[in-house]
Formats: sequence, C-alpha cells, structure tokens
Amino acid sequence: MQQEQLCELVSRAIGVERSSVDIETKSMDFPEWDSLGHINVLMAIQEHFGESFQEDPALASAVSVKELYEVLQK
Amino acid sequence: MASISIDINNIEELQKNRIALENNGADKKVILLIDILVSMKTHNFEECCHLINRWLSQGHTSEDHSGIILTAISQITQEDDLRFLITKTRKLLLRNLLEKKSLMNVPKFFHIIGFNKNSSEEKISVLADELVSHALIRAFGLKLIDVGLYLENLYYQEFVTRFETDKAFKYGMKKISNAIESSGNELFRKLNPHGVDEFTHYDNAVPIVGIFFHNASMLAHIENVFIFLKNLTENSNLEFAPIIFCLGGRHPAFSDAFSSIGVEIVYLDEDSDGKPILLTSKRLLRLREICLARQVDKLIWGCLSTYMLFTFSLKVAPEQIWWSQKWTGLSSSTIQKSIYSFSSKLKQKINGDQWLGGWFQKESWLKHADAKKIQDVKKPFEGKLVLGTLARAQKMNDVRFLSAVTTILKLNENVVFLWTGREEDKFVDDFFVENGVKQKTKFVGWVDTSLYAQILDILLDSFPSGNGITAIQAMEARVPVVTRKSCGEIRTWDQFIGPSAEKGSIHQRQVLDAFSIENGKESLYHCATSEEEYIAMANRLISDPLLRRKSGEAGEKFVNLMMKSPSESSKIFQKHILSSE
Repeated sequence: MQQEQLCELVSRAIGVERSSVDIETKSMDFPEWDSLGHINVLMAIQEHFGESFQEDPALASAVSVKELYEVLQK
Repeated sequence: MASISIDINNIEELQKNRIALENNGADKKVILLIDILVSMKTHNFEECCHLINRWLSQGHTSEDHSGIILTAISQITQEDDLRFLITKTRKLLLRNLLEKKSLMNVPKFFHIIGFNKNSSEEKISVLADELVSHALIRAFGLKLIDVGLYLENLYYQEFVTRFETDKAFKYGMKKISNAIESSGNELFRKLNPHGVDEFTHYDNAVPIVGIFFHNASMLAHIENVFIFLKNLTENSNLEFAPIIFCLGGRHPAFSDAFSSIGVEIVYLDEDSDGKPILLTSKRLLRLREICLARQVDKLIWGCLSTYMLFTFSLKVAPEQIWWSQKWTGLSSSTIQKSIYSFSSKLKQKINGDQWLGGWFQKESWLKHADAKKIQDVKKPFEGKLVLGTLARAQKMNDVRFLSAVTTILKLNENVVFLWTGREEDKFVDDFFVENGVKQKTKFVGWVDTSLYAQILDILLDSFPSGNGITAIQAMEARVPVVTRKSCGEIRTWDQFIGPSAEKGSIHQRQVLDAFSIENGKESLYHCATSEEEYIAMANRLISDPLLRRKSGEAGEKFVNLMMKSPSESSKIFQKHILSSE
C-alpha cells in the first residue's frame, strides 16, 4: 500500500478532510481518531487488503499514519 | 448514460425512472435498488426482503446505495413491518457489515438505519432487539472485540438510556451478556493458558483497592466516590489503599480533586512510556496488567456497567465488585460482590441476587445562593406558583409522567412548570403543545439544579425514573416533593424512604417523625401509588400554602436526619468493600 493510499484511507475512516492527513499525522492530532476512529481505520485497512488484522498487536497499537505504514510494509 | 436522481419518497418518480433505465439497458444494480425502494414504499415487505437479500448477496455494494437503502429502512413507521424486514435480512446485513465490510463503517450503519436519538422508542426497541444485539453477538463471535465493545456502549446509550429504567437495563443486558462474557473468557484463557491462579501470592498488609471510571469528570457518581474517599482520608479512617483507574480523558477538576486527598490516578489511555493506547480492549488489558503487577486486591467498577462484564471476565483482581449507583438488573458469576448506593438496608435481595446497601450522604446537597440571586431567577414567574422537574429529558419523556403534569397544569391557573435538559426535548415540547399547556411551561436549559431547587414551590418528581439528587436538593431547600411509590420499574427516592419507614428498619422512627407518617396524622410524605393519586397530591399542595410549608419543613427534617452525615455513609461503604462476605 502506498503512503498516498493510506492517507486517503485514514482520512475517510476518521471522517476528516483528505488534505489534513499526511504521513506525519498522529492520532492525537484529531479528536476523531479515538478508540472508535481507530476501529474504523483498522476495518478500512482490512477491507483494502481483504484479510483480518484485528489481532495484529502492531497495527492495533499504531498511533500515527507513519507507524501504520511501517507495519504494513513488513 | 444520463444520471438520475433518486428521491426515495417519490414512488411515481422511482417507477418512471425504473422504466426508463430498463429501456436504456442500465446497470442492473441501480434497477435492483429502485425495485427495493418501490417495494418498501408500497409496503410489499415480503418482496422487499427478497430483493434486499439479493442485493446483499451480490459482490461489492456501493456505500451510496447502502446509504439509500438504510435511509429508506429508517423511514419505515410500522413497528411490525420494521421487525419483519430486519429479521428477514439480518443475516446478510450483518455478514456484509461485519465480515465482508462491504456496506459502510459500523457507527455510520447504525446511525443511518435509525438507531439514534431521532427515532421513536418503538423503532429503537425493534432495532435494539432485532439488530444491534445480534450484531454485538456476531461481532464478539468473530473476535471483533472492539466492535463488540463499541456496540455494547451504543446499545446502552441509545436503548437503555432512552427508557431509563432498570427493566430496560435488565432486558438489554440479558440479551448481550453471554456473548460479552464468552469473549472475555476466551481472551482470559489465551492470557492464562496453563490456568495458573495469578492471585494466590497476594499478601498486602493494607488492601489495595482499584476504582474504575470510564471518564475523567466530576459527574455525580464520581463526586460521590470522591466524597467517600475524602471523608475517610480526612478523618484518618481509610483502611485501604485506593487507586483510581480512568479509561480515558482528562479533566482538571477530576485530577485536582483526587490529588488533593493523595489518591493516585492511573490513566489507561497511555502506556508506561506515555504513548497513547487507542483501542478500548487494549486499555482494559492494560488495566489487568497493572492490577496484576500492583497486586490489586479488589477492583471496584464505580460507574455504568459498560465494559464491566468483559473486563471482569478477564479476571483482573481476586475480588471484583460492582458498586452501582443506578441499576441492579445484572447477574454474573464474574461479579463477586454487589453494592447498591440507594438503599437503607445493609443487605437485601434484589432481582434474586444478594446486594449490600448504603446511601451517600453529604454535609450539604445545596450550594446556598444569596436571596437576591434567587429573587432574580424567580422574577419572571412572579405571581405564579412555580412547579418543576429538575432532570434530564430521558427521565421526563415518559407519557405517564407527562400526562400527569399536563393534567395538573390544566386543573390549575396561575402555575408555571419549569423543566430542564441539555436541549429542549422535542417529544416533551410537542406533548405540551398537543395538550394545550405549552404556555404554562418553561424550558430553562441545563441549569444549576442547586439554585433552581431553591426557586421552586413544588417539585414534581419524574417517573418511572425519579429526579434523584435534585429531589434531595429540593427537600433540603424546604420545597415539597410529590413522588411515586417505588415498585417494579418505578424507582424514586421512595425505594430508600419507603423501606426506611417500615417496621424493623433501624431508621423507622426518624422517617416517621420527619414526615408525620402515623395513624391519625396527615402524612407530609407525598408518595403516590397511582397517577391519579399523584395528581390529587399535587393539587392539594397547590391549593394549600400551609400544607406546602409543613411538607417542605418535613422534607428538610428528613434530609437533616438521614442525608447529612457523610462519615456514617463512608464507614458503611468501606465496611462493605472490605468485608469478606
């Protein structure tokens, strides 16, 4: 998954403007990226890849777009 | 191909568009969508379900189309039709929502389909019963733990709080508790594969007691616990080492309060390095981790029961205590002890379960306002008798209560009824309009109840769920209160006062004296067994200033005798917490 795709996915999942999300975006930058927002992010990632990441601790504990990206590259 | 607009409320237009699309060889998915909408709007639900299931069985469905169909479902007005449609399409709806993830995100789905504050009670009941509870069970079954926890919270916020009764709470929890506990148990077995008893080595000289809250705030339930700890601390009577566990959020009033009495707060939304923890499940696991590491002897759930069963199923402490300040309709083997904060009986059976009881007391329930301020607030209502209810809309919007209030208003001139809430509840307002009494009512917003308790002439306690603390504030302010007898789903202060006045109660003499409840004397405790009696009691108080004065004084006497000794209540609760029963 490319960074651009991931940023798009995260912005849609947490319901914010695409232009406000980039690779440096952290969860604390948006109140929308709370526990529920993070569920939406994970589910969007699952939908994209067509497989379950629910129990992936690295993804579950990622708190920024950068961290998500790094986990997904592995 | 030219685009078409879909107005889901215009059947003729839909049918016209369908013909045009079919003639032009349009996308079959769009035609199917229109067929679904037409069948729904013409109340052909048998056909509609068949078509929806066909649509759901297809490959990827667009979020726009999903939104249109869900919006149409949310507009179904007949309860039976909605129930029929949901039960016939539920299996594929939930499969697409939770497994294929091909509809839309979970919160959006439930909001659009109508599980929100704008829907009627009937609709909320049907959706809770036939969809949300099933979704929760399915989510936990699929190991989508955080989705399941989200749905538990949603279920509580939209269903239980809508009805605001222990009956609704008990009914709801019965539907979902097994799934929640099973999920917690499964996770526990993963964490503890060899079945080791992780608690056997605790040997604390002073018991360590954790108290869990969802949020950092000083809402009433947290303030009560704070006063409990403060009283014990200040009187050097604290016999355990408390730790506050907070699931999330920060608030200076919260942190300052507990810091002021030297009580540690552990925030579960960050790890030991300060890195945020986003998922609820991870925060609850962190709670377990800390409780085990710190050898917490007892973990008290000091707030609403949301997430409690899952957490307790993880086995976080040797003794897990539910300290309820509201509902009691929940049984679980994961709860070792239940304490109820609204009882004068130290022990009692509620819903077949053993509960320890007590009640919170404060040095004063009112913040006394100066006479000028009271006068200024009361000025707009000069010349009228001020009736009022000081409660959230969810407590007020029961038809039985509103009918009683409107009858009282119709029978009496020169009265005004004040009511409160975060926003003006449409159902309540419409009820007053439809019954021709709107001009005798005034919505005052989310006010300082302590101040408003002092400007009322009579408090009309809500039912089935009573005003709660604000009724005590009114009594302390010498304002007479009309209330309902606590029985079944009706829960007012009578569930405390009533049993206290009974033979065998150690408080009987105090309560009988305060309210003059004795044969031959006119009782000053206005507790009605029916709506008709409630209306009659209110009318008598309205027409009799002397009765109002004496009743107000009786209420004040009761509060002084039984509600103003925090050290007494703190000792009772501490005893319950530390007892080995």
